[in-house]
Amino acid sequence: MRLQLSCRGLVAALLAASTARAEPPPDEVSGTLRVYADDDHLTVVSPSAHGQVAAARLAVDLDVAVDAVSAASVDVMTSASPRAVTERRVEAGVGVTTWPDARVAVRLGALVSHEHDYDVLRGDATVTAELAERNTTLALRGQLELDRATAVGDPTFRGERRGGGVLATATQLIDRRTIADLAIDARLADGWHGSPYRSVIVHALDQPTFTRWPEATPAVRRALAAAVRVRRAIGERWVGAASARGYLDDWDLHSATATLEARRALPGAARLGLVARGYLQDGASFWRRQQPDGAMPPALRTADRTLGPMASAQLEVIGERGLGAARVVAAVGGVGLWYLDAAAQSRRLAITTTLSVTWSR
Amino acid sequence: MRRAVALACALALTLTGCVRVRPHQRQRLADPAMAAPTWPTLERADEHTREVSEGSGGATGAGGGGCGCN
Repeated sequence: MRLQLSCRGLVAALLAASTARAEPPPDEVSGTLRVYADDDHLTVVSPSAHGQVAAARLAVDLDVAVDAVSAASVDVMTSASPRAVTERRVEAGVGVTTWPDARVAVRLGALVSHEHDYDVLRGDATVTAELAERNTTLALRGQLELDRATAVGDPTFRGERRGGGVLATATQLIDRRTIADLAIDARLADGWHGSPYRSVIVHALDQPTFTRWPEATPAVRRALAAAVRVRRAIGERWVGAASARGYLDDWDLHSATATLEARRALPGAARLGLVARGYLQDGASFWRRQQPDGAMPPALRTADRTLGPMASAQLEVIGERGLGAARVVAAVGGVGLWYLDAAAQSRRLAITTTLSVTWSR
Repeated sequence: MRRAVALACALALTLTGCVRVRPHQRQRLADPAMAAPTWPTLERADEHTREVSEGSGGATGAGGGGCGCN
């Protein structure tokens, strides 16, 4: 059962951590433990490790992560398995970065992820260049992905999706205290997009009975997202950041995201951070709360509530402190999700707790 | 949306052409809190969580992330 991962998620999840910078990073190793728990009886414990080492004009980074999932959610309990489930996902990634020039970096990366019924293979290449006396940083990333899904209880089911995308980013120094970022992300995915465990209920005309039909979505999904972010140092101790993102795709799903961040330096090489995020989306054009009555279902149909209208809000408090050669980061966050037109469980509240330790030299 | 993207690109190119912050003027920009992301592990984990609970994503990365201070 695919609980935690999709190809799109892999891409998004790695963007922050693996952007090649036009300078060798310090050698470091880190370990992280994150726990997600919500009022839908879903708990995810995610230990992960990261390491990177650089020598001259070459650097190698490695990542390993595990998701241990325990769930009794209405989302994951299906008619075929009306009981709690436990699952595990294992992910491993490697990247090699080289600096052909003092202001240019090239990174090649690969990542695999395995669940008992879902596998992902991904490769990407990123070129980063610093221009204008390092006032401007441009990066261009291309990526290719392959997702393969199977289904527990249905040995005949095979779902496959191929995808790719291009992400272009620009970072610009505005003045002595301000940095602006622009990111444009275009993606294409072709193949299986649904879940073999979800079905759409269609009532028969003038009959008390109903039938279940498997999801049917368009094979191709093209998406475009653009984001701007401004970071500014305020006084000697504060940093503020604000960002906005817009998204659209050819399934007629649109979304808007706004994020505000504040960070403050504290005595003793410590920092405190606060992040607030709001998200709003309309629904894909073929998503319906209830399928129309009839002998046959609509040609396109889905029961995926994340494709319907929804909103979310997140608040996270982060603390960081240096302890000798190590830095310890701890964070506690609250997340609210409102599926505005979902028939069952339209609200979900979650708490995330993260502890991370990094050693650098 | 496409118009907004084109406008943003034009604005970015314009800014690139006219702004110069000298290395000795970048003391505050070199603050680790100015990096994007400041806490990569957290941002990565948050994106992973959002992926399975929201219908859209992308454009979450930042170019160089830093200030070009080195």
